[in-house]
Amino acid sequence: MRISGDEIRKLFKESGYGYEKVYDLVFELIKEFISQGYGICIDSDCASKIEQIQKVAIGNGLQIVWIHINPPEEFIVNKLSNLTPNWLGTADEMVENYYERKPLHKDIDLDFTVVFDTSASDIQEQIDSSVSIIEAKVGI
Amino acid sequence: MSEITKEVYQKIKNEYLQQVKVPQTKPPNSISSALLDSLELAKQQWLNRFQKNYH
Repeated sequence: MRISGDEIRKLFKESGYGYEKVYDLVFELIKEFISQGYGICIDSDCASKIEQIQKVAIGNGLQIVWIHINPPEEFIVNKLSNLTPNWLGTADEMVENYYERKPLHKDIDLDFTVVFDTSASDIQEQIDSSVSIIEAKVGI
Repeated sequence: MSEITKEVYQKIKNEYLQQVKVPQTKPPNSISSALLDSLELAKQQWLNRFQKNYH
């Protein structure tokens, strides 16, 4: 079951509210779907929520598979700079947000099972091969 | 920015649950099969998003 931080963030914004309850809802949904027996894919920047995710996983006897989307910075900034304005803001605001959040990722020391370089032309192969890598990691 | 009341929070939660793609299979009996379902769904969603945004 995929739970998207951005999709939830967008709903709060479209309803005229801020983002302060986004992760309350994300974790509420995570716990609900875990209780129903689903595996969870958290599609979000988890940099500031690592300990909280680990706590939920340990509490439910679940294994975590950390995935890092890690293209070169030049690629990220170039992509953001050329995006048309959307609900996340203007291109300049998105670039600014990237640099604001960058320090959160500086000291992360996680055992990433898969690292994607979304700037590479072999992204399809990266995605295809990631499935077996993750399956091996979790023993299925 | 307005305060997010319990009612607003619940409304947004319901909206998300209406739009999100919940796997159509019944809740699986094992964590392994749950992981497989999630991986397959995530793979399709990654593919769709990457193709839309990056290529």
